[in-house]
Amino acid sequence: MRRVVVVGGASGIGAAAVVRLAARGCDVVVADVDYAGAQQVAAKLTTVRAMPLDVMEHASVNSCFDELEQRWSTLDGLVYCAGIGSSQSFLDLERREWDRVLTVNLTGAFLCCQRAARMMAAARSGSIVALSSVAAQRPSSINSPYAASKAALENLVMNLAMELGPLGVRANLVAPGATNTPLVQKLHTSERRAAFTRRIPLGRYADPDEIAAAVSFLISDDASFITGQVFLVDGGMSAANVLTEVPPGSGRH
Amino acid sequence: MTGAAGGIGTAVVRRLTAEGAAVFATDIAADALRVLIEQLPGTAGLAADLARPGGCAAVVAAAIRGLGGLHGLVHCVAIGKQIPILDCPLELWNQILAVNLTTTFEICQLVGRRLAEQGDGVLIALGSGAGIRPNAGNAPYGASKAGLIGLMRAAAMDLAPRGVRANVIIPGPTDTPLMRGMAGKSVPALRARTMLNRLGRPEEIAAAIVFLLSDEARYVTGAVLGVDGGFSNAGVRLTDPG
Repeated sequence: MRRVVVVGGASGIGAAAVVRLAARGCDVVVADVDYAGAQQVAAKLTTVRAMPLDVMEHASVNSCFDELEQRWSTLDGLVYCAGIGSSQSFLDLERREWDRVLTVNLTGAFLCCQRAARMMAAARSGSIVALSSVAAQRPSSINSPYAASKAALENLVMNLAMELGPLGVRANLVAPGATNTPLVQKLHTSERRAAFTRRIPLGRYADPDEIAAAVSFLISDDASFITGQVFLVDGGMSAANVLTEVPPGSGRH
Repeated sequence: MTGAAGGIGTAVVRRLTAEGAAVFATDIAADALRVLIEQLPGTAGLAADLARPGGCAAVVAAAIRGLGGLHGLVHCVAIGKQIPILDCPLELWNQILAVNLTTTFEICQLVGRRLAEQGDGVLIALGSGAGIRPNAGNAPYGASKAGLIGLMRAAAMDLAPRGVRANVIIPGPTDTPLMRGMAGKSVPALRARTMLNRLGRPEEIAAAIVFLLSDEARYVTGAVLGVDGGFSNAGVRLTDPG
């Protein structure tokens, strides 16, 4: 069926997406700066291969996609899941931290999407899904470079959709809310977790697989008329007003 | 499924029954509805005008009886009329709001009660890009569709603690008899303003609705998803036909 590369697929939502896409019968390349982690994900799945990829290095992006073009004459899907956050407050935010977050979350996406889209445009077909965040909708505390990068990423991918739509290339974003990934587990103190949960109408964080389900849908032909969209998969969080306080313990799986 | 005999409605009913769902179909067009139900075993239905007093209640009661229960609602009923705001009679405004918005509230409340009792289920309403970015002459229709988004998001808030999700799908220019009838000569312009440079097929709208109804979308609520070839988010293309 479909050939899909998942950038940042060694953990979290990316890894869950790899599992789902493989289960759908896709040939998947899981590309990650954590090559060992990528190999672990690939090890359990016969149609999945791991490749090292550091999205902060232009040369690494190029060599990864050069190899992909050698192996695969066509590319049907790209999932861009690479992302990092920061726990520096705005007044303390260091220039190099800002640059790091923007490079991984935004510039890396630009570089990978460009290489993928060239392959897809040549074949007049393809689907790109990038991971945004509810942070792009409304700011929370101590999240400025991450949130800004995701807002910019949404706009970039919509521009990509606009330019490449006539060439049969679709591009969308999934915007998760609070999700139980290693990244979030590192950044969310118990105080932050409690504050977030009170604002989630469904009363709980998401499981990475619940986000991966939306990613897999958008990659697939079931989403053939969907492009230029930000698909919020956030338990109702960004639709909720600040007066919505969810009773504790009301979350269900 | 309301509006089941229309272009999109028919595609949704077909796709749902193909996936093993039991569907209760309703539409104001009794003949077309009967033909649809005859073609699809496992489908029951009732012709009704949902905007008339008691219409929604009769349909929901019949659906629960006929299916033995309910998991979800897909609501696809609307009327529209292009009319400049300065010329719109109050009666027409009230009629469009009643059919498009108030009927949505009524049927979501009736189905929502059942779903909330069982702690599970999904409400889906079909919106319109006109509810976010209207054309000229769209005041009553656009306002009703903007209201629909607010209503479904509010429903999502009220029903989340009860295990019930509510979402909106905005179909784009879709190749249906209704659309071609309404749009007439402007079909090429509509096509050119989608990012994909084509109309949608009803099956493509159905596929997204089926995804949102499924357990795969259990963390999705209060969402508004465009299934419109990028129409609602498109800016100016250099070769804009104007």
